[in-house]
Amino acid sequence: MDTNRDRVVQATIGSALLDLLKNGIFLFIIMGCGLLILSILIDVLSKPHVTGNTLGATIIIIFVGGYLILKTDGGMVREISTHYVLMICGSGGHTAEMIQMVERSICSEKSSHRRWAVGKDDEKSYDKVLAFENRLLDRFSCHDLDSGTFDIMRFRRARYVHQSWLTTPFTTILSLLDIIRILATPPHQRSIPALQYPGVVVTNGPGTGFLFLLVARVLRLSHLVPTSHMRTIYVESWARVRSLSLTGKLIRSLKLADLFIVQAPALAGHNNVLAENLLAMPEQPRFPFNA
Amino acid sequence: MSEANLDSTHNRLTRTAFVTIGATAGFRSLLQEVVTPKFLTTLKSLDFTDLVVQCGPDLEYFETIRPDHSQKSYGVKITSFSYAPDLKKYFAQASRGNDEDGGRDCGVIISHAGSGSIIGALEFDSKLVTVPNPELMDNHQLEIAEDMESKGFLVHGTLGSVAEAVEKIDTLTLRKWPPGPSPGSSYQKGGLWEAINELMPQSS
Repeated sequence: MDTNRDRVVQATIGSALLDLLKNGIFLFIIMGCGLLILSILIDVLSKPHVTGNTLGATIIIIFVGGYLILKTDGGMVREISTHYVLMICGSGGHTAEMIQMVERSICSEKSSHRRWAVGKDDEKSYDKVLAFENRLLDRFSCHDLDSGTFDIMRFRRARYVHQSWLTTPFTTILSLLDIIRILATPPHQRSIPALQYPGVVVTNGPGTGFLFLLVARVLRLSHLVPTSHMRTIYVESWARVRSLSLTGKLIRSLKLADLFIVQAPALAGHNNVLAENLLAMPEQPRFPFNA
Repeated sequence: MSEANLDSTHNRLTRTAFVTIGATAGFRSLLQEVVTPKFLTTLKSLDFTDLVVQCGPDLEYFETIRPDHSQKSYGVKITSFSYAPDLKKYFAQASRGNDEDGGRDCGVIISHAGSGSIIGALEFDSKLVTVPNPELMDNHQLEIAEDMESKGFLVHGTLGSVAEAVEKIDTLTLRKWPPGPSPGSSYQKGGLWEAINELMPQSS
């Protein structure tokens, strides 16, 4: 171990490295816990009432994992102007819709950060987000506006298409760990304490978006993060005209979204907000696309 | 022929039909249909000069079924490619030209009914025929195609009669996208960002 080099590195990036190591150790502990719970999971999988037990075990994992990661830095928030939003990109059309909605409506905010969560295997979504952020930088700098900072973090999917159900608990645990990491890691670009946790989490499905909202809800209910943060928005796809998607139904029945938006009048109900054609709203973007 | 050559034929009025099937799933039945003699003769009779096909994962398949020389393609120039991160230039090529590129007639876009493709195409002043992929039964492509046709923004085409849909749209005047704000609907002034700001923890 070259201690001199370590000192130099530490001097350069300060406590960031220490935090990373700390998180690394905690992740290791969680992995252990996860594997323990996994054996229980596999056991219950062979019995009836699987879904109830699985959900219970999932919540325990989130709780234990979240507690271990977060206990060191509690939920202290200083009141300063911040704007930190986490956007979860499912895949293909979902990502395209998300970017479309953001690109139309986005405004310049004081001290703002955008985090994009993208699947590990989803290179197309990654490229789309990057292309959007480049366009945004060009557009906002033309108007002398602050476009804030952004980062893109990757998550593993809970279940891939054609994956065996036997291995799904494993991948679900890995996916949950990624989700906790994405929700709880402060943006490296900003060292403002209030930007520790996203103020708002937005998803428009599919699958993994549900897990994000579930984890965010558990973290908030357990007071691991301040209840004023990680407020959740679910936007049902514009393509859903007559019925909710499975993800939408799950999120609505578990009341996981603070704001549940549908884009078709036929889907409007007392628990959700109708906002038609969010993809094309506002009609005139506040700042023109081509300056 | 991997990338469509957009700079050709500047000396005559061009008219392009652009077919896009998205990036994720293949849509062979639509690719088959747009190279049938019936479809190509319809294009020719409507004075189309170019057919540009985005094939997604089925590019190799398309290369095997496309007519190999101009006699068989009825004088319509066919170009194909797999996928491009930004389809805007292709949408533009198939939409109404402005004064600067006068050598272009308003073409037609034939797309699968994925929401990203529909929205992408509607951003241009163009005529859009949307063909739902019947193999994606849980994808609700049919719903959105029917809904958008009933609102007058596009024409819903079905496999087997895409040529008829192109003939139909040629004579139609479609509603302009985007629609204005809907009464009784939320966030029409500020869009998704307005919703985000509503929930964002307030600073003092």
